[in-house]
Amino acid sequence: MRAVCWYGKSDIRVESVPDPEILNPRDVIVRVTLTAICGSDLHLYGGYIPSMQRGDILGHEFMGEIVEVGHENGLKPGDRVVVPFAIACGNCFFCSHGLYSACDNSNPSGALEKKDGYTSAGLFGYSHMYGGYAGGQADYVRVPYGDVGPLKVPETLTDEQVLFLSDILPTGYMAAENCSIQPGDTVAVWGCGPVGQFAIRSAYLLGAERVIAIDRFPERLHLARNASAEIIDYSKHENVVEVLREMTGGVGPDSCIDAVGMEAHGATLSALYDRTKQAVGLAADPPTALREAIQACRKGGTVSVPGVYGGFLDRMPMGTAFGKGLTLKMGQTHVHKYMQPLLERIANGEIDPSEVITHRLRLEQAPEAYEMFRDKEDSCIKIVMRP
Amino acid sequence: MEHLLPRVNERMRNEDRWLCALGGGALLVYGIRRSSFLGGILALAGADLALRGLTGRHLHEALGVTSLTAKGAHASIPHQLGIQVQTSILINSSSERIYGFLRGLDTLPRFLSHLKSVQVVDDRHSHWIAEGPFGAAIEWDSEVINDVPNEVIAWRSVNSPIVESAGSVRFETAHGNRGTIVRVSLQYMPPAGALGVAVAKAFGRDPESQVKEDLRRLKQLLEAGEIPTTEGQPAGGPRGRRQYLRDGEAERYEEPDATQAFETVPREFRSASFGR
Repeated sequence: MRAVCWYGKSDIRVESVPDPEILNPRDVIVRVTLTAICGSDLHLYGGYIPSMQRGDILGHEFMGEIVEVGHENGLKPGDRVVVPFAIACGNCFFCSHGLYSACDNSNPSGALEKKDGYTSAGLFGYSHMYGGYAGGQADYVRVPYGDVGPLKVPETLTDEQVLFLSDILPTGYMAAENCSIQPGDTVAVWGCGPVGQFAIRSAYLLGAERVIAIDRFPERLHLARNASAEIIDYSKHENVVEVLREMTGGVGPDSCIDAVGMEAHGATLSALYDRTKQAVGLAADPPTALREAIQACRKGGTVSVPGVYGGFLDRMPMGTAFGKGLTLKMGQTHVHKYMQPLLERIANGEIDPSEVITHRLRLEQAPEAYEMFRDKEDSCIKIVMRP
Repeated sequence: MEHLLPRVNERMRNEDRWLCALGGGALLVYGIRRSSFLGGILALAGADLALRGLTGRHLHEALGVTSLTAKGAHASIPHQLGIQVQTSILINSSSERIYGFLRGLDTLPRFLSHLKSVQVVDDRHSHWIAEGPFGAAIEWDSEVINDVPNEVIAWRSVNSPIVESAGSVRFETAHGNRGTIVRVSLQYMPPAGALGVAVAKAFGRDPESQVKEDLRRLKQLLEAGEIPTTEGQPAGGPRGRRQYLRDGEAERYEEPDATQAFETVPREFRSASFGR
């Protein structure tokens, strides 16, 4: 089969590789019909994520058709399914409590536990620290725990409408749900990439009265406005926090969503650059979305963080967060929990995830696709690829 | 720096190593040039810093004046005398089920990676095989010396000229209905010192970490019914050639316990419920 393989920083190749096989009884094999590149794939593309090996197959947003089933598990060849990006066993303490991305058992690698003291669920196509599972930017993919992950989807909805149930739609939704939105609330969203777009739409679905979207790319702000958000172009303002205060009568938004994560301004995992600048007294405080969110949020409000963070973060205003009595909620999305309810919202017409798609390519075009996505060329917001 | 001098101290980031090496080197030179008592102190401090940057170790450690908290001191008995490990894990399963799974001892090799096989001889005796140096097998017989259902299984080797081994598994019901804490204790003491090397190799550099990982596998087996793996999956490049599964066969499937303390996931969140 053909697959998108990682060969180093900015080096993506589409190669012929062996087809996947059933390795464990609970596995299923899926023939991929549509897949996408995620913002977090760009961390891999940029060489920021350790424990990658040359030849690793990428891709954690995918869907398709079951072609082979291991043990009897309720799925049959021909079933059309969307697969969550995190792999969950279904039976550990965390899965049993709906915390699927915290699964104890799906990561065969002990490396993360040894390093940081906790196990993370295995992820598709996201480095050996997270299990080294071959990803779904390929013709076929092996899906472990087939009785827990894959969600059957009806023929009445197109691939483009349901693909994002795999990751970014539940991510945006969970971010909004974590805000504990009350009717009449104002929600501010930093980062209008696909996750931010879904956070905006989800916030309205959950009862927000105002959503304020913050970004600088015109196409992203435009898409946010399409969802009825008010926009702030931060490249045109010195102080976003001040603008938010003015917009809310000095109070600040009731909740703030950081849909940017650690690559604000393209900064890398290693904080060496920042620290060196700080050490010689040259740095202004790096304007991270999270810092602004804490500074802007009203007293007693919630800061919700779907944006990916790793390692350590310097100079966080914990004093402000404490002084204002903020609630911080964060984490990898528990996709399995949200897929069914969100599928129903899609079927009801309450949300159309395909709105964020700007480019439709073939899998063979993956190398150009990654470059375009990283550089935001051609007003690119989300690229889907058909094998 | 990583290529020249491999990282020994995991806690030091690459940037820190450079800062230490350069800063320490500068201080060392400065201290020497001052050639006074204070200069001597500065030189020593510089040497320590530079050494730390280059090797990850302090000066006193490099000189052999070790601290009492040497890593792994509690996991091994010094000077090739053997391995002693105690560790535990919480498993979302009843002590009855776990005890039943482990009682025969023949299931131990499915998660204890240093064992190749355990063959049951009779109710209290078994024959053990571990992998020794150069692929040769180390074999011995064991007998169960303590067996309290759902509480403890303990065993020790008998008539073993090559290695004395003992071990136990204890089952403790966890608070809050969370399942069972499984406590494992393993001991391998070769009577002849030279074979301590063989045993040590079977356990790797850090026996406690190894057994902790082994227990993770037991947990995976009992909670998820299988041990997760990616061996045999496709990849690009020369690794595209399939690696074969260990021992040429897939893991045997264990039925996850349906009588767990927790409620199973509500149906509406289950994957296959839509469209049925």
